[in-house]
Amino acid sequence: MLQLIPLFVLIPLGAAFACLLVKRRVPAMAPMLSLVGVLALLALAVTGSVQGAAGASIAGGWSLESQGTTSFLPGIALVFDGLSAVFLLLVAVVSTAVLVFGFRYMETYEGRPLYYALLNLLIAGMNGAVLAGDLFNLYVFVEIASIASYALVAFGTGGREVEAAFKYLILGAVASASILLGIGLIYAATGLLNMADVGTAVAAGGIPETTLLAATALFLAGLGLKAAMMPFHAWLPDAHPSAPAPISAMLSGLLIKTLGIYALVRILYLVIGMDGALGGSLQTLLLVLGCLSMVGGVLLALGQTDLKRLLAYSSISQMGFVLVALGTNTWLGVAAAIFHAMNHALFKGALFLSAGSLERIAGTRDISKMGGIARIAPATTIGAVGASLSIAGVPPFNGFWSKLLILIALFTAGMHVVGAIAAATAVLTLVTFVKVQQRVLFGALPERLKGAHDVPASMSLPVIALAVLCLIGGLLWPLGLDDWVGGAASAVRTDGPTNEAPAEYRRMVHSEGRQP
Amino acid sequence: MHDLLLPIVIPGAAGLLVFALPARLRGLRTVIGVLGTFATLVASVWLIDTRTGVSWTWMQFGGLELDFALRMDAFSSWAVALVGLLSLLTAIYATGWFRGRGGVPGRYFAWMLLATSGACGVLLSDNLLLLVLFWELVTLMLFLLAVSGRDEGAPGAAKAFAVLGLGDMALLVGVVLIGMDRGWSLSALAASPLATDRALHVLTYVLLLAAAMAKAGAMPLHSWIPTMSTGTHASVMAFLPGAVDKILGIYLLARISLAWFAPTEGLRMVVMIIGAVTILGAVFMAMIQHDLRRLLSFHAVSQVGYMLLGIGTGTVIGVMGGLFHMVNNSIYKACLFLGAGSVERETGTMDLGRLGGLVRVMPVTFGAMFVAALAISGIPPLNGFASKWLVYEACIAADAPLFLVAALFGSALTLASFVKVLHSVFWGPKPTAMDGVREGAGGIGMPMAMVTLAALCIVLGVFAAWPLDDFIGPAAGLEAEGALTGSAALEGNAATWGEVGGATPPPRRYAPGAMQPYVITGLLAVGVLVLLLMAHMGQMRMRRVRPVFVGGQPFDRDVNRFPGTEFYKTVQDLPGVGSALRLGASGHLDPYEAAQRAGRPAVRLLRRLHSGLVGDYLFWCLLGLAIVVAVLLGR
Repeated sequence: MLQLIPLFVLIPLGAAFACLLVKRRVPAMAPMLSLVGVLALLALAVTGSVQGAAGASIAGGWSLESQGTTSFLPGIALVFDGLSAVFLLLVAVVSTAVLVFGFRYMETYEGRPLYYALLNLLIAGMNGAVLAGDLFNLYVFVEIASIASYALVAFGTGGREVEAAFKYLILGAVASASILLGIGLIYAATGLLNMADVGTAVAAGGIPETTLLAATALFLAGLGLKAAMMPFHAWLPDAHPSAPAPISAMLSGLLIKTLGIYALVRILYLVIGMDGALGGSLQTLLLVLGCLSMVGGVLLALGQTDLKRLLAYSSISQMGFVLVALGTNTWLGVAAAIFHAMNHALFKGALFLSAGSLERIAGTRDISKMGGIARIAPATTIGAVGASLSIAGVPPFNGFWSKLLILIALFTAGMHVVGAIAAATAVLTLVTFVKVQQRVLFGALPERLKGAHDVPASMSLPVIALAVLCLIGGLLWPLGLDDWVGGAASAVRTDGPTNEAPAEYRRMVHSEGRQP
Repeated sequence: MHDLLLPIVIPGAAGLLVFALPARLRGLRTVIGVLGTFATLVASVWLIDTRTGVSWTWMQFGGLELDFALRMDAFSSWAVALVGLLSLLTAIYATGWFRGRGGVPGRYFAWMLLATSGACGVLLSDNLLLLVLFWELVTLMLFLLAVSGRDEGAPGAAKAFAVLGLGDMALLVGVVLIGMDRGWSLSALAASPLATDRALHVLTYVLLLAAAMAKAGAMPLHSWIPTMSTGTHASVMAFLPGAVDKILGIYLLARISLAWFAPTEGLRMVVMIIGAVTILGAVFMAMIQHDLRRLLSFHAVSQVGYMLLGIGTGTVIGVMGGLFHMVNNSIYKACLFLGAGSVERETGTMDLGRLGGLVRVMPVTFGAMFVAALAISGIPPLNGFASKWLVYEACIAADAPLFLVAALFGSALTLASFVKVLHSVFWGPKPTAMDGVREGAGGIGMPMAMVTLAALCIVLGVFAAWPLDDFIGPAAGLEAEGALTGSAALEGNAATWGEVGGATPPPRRYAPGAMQPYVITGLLAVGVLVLLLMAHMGQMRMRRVRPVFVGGQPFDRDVNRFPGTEFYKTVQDLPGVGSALRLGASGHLDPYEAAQRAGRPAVRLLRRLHSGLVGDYLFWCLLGLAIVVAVLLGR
C-alpha cells in the first residue's frame, strides 16, 4: 500500500494531462479517462482505509554530499495516516458522484475536455494537500487546487461567472500569499519545512515568540480564507453559486475542507500546537470566529431566494460548526469536527448537485418561482429530501450524529454558551431547509412547470447515492464507523482512546523522510 | 427477539415493507398498513402486564457509552396500547378517507407505521438518547405525512417541522446536559432524581419542559397545530397532533415532573400557570374560528392545559387527572377530527358559515361528534368529565382557587364553542349547497373508527373506575401504596390529595368531593326514558310543516340563516380579551412568526453589508487579521 501512495496524486494529474492530449482528436475520451481515474482513486482510498495502513512515501529524494558527509534531502514526503485516509476517501467518493453527474449536466457547455482536465487537476491538488508531509508542498498543492478552481468558477464565461472568479482569485491570492509568508517566517527561523520537525521545534521553543505569533496569524488568516471562516468568507457566496453545479459541489463539498479545515487541523494541532503557548488564544479565536460563521451564515441563508447562494451561505454556517468543535481542543471535539466535515461533504455535495438538477427542471434558481417539483421529479426529490434532512440534523441521518457529537464535545468542555449558539444555529438550519423543501419540492406546481420532467438517471442517481451514503453513515455510525472517525481524531489528539498516533506521525516523517 | 421489541419492530418492519413495495401494489400497501397497526395493537395488549427491562450495548465512542435499553412499566404499558389502538383506528379511517380521491397517496402507510413505531419507541426507551431518536422520528414522520398528497399542506408542514424542531433541539440539549452529568440510563435517573436547586438543573428541566410543550402543543409553542390543520389529511390530524403527539408530550412532562427531576414548588407553579393560560387562551381563540379544523385544533391546544394543570399540582389526584385527561383527550379529539374529516369529505368545505343542517343526512357522524363534543365539554357521565373532575379536585386540594376558576371557565367556554359547532354544522336550516350531501361514500372504515371512539368516550366515562384502578392509578405510583386504588380519587378519598410519592397528605382546608358515575348515568338514563315515554304517549311526534314567511318573503334557506359564527363574534368585543385575540390572530404571539419578524432586520443588515465589492471584502480580511493578531497578542 505504501508504495502506492503517490498514485493518489499521479493518477488525477495524469488524467488531467491525458484529457488535454485527447482534446482535439477524441474529446469524447476525456470523460472516460476521468471516470477511470476517479474509480481507481476510489479503489485506492477504500483499500487504504480498510487496511488502515499508516506510513510515509517519498517521491523523488536527492542526496547531497558536502565536506565528506552525506546528508539526504527528502523529496516530496507524502504521509498517509488516519486523518488523510478519511479525507482521501471523501475526495474520491464525492468526485465520483460529481463526475458522473457532470456527464450529462456539462453537455450544454463548450470545451468540455478542459473541464475534465481542470476537474482532475483540482482532485490532484486536493489529494496532494491532504497527503503533503511538509509545509511547502502543502502550499504547492493548495495552489494547484486553488488555481484549478478559479478557472472552473469562470468556466461558464458569462459576466457573473467571470466577476465571481475574479473576486475569488483576488481573495485567494491574498490567502496564498499569507500562507506562503507564514511558511517563509517559519523556514527563516528554523530552516525546517517538514511539519513533524517544525512541530517538534516549536514545542521545544526553537522559534522566537514574535515569529511564531506572526506565522500563526498568517496561517489562520490564509487558511481561514480557504475555509471561508467569517469574516474571511466573502468570496464564497459569489464563487460557489457561479460555478457549474458539479463544480459547486466540489468547491463547497470538498475544497473548503481539504484546503481549509484539513490544513487548519494539521497546522494548528501538529505544527503550532494547540496545547502550546498560543493554544488558549487559538481556542478563543476558533470559537469566536466559528460562532460568527455559524450564526452569520445561517441568517444569510435564511434570507436567500437564490437556491445555490442559499446553499453557499449554509456552507459557511456549517464550517462554523466544524471550527467551534476544533476550538474545544479535545479528542472528542476533533472527532466531531472531522465527522461533521465528512458529513457536510456528502450532504452539501448532494445538495449542490440536486440544485443543479432543480435548475435544469425549473429553468430558474429562484426558489420563490418553484414549487411542487416532487410531483414531476420523484428521483431528484428523493435525493434532495435525504440531503436536506441530513443537513437539518434529523435522525437517523449522519448530520444528526455529528451535531450531537459537537454539542456533547462543547458541553463536556464547559463551553455552554457556544453550545447554546450551536444548538440555535442547528434549529435555524432546520428551518432553512424545511422552507426550501416546502417552497421548492412541495406545495402547488406552478402552471409554467406543468410540462417539465425529471433529469436523466445519470444525474439523479449520483445525488441519491450521496443521500443514501448520508443515511448509511447515520445508521452505521453506532455500529463501527466510529472507529474510523476516532482514528482520524487520534492522528492529532492524544487524549482519546489511543494516544500514539501523533507521535507515530512524527516518527514516520522523521525517520523515513531521511532514508535515501 | 425480546418481547419489548415487538411494538417497535412490528410497525417499523411493516412500514419499511410498505416503503419498499412498488407504487402499483397500492392495495397491498393498504392491507399491510392496517394489518401492521392491528398487529401492533395485539402485541401491545398482550404485553400490557409485562414489567421488564432489557438492554443491549449499542455504541461506544470515546467516553460515550450508549445502551439500547427498553423498559416497560405501569405507565408505558397502557400508553403503548393506546398508541396502537389510535393508530389502528386512524388507519382504518384512512382507507375510507382516501377512497375516490386517487387512493392512499404513495408512502402514507409507510410514514404512519414508522410514526407508530417511533411513538412506541419513545414510550419504551430506557435510554435518554434512544428516546430522542424515536422522538425525532415521530416529528419527521409528521412532516412527511403532512406533505404527502396535499399541495396546500406544505406551509403548515414546514411550520410544524420548524416549531417541533425547536422543541426537539431543546430536548436534545437537555438530554446531553443530563447525560454528561448522570449517564444516559433513565432507570438510574428515576432512582435518584435531579434536584432542581442548581441553575443548570433548572435550565435542563425547562428545556425538557419546552420539548414536551411543543410536542403536546401547549401555549406558546402550539402555533403549528392550527396552521397545519387546514392543509393536512383528517386522518393525520386525528392521529398525530390530535392524539399521539399529546401522549408523547404529556408522557415526557409526567416523567420529568415526577420521576427524573424533583421540581420545586416554583417550577410546578410555572407548569400550572402555563396550563391555565393555555386552557383559556386557546379556548377563546377556538370560539372565534370559522374553520372547523382550526377550531378543533385550538381545542386540542386548550385541552393540553388541563393535563399541564393536573400534573403541575404534583398531587396523586392531579397527576391521575392529567394522565386520565391525556387518555380521554386522545380519544374524543381523534373522534372530533375524524368527524370533521367526514364532513369535509362529503361537503367539500370546512367553513362553519357555509355548513348546516347535516344532522339528517350524516347521522353517524353527528352521533359520534355529538358524544365527543359533550365529552370534551366535560358533561357527565362522559370520560371528559371524569378526568376534568379529578383536575378540579386537584386544584382545590392544592389550595389554588384561581386555577380552579380557570379550569371551570375553560370548560364552560368549550361547551359554548361546541354548541356553535353542532349548531353550525348539524342543526339549523340546511343551505341549498348541502342538498346532495349524504354519508357513507367512504365505505365502512370511517364510521367504524368514529363510532368506536365515541363508544370509548362513554365506556371510559361510565366505568371510569376501571381505567383509574388498573392503569392510571399505578402510573401515578399508587401500586406501591398498598390499599389505595385509582378509583379512590374519583370517590373522594382524601388520601389521594397528597403529593406523588409523599407519605401522608397534609391536612387540607377543604373536603374532597365524590363523583358517582353510576348514579349520574342511572339518573340520566331515567330522564331519557321518561322523555322518550312522553314523546311516545304525548303529542311530540306530531309536527306540522308549513311554509315560513320572513318579512312577507318566502323563506330562503341560503339567505335567512343564523350560522353560529356570527353570534360568537361578540367575544372579540370583550374588554381585554379582544385585543389579546387580535394580537394572537395577527401572529404576534406565535413564536414562529415573531422570530421571523425579529430576524428580518438582522438578515437585511447582513445582506446590505455584502456589497459585492472586492475592496470591502479585502477590508474585512484585514479586519479579521487584525482581530487574530489582537487575540494572539492579548493572551
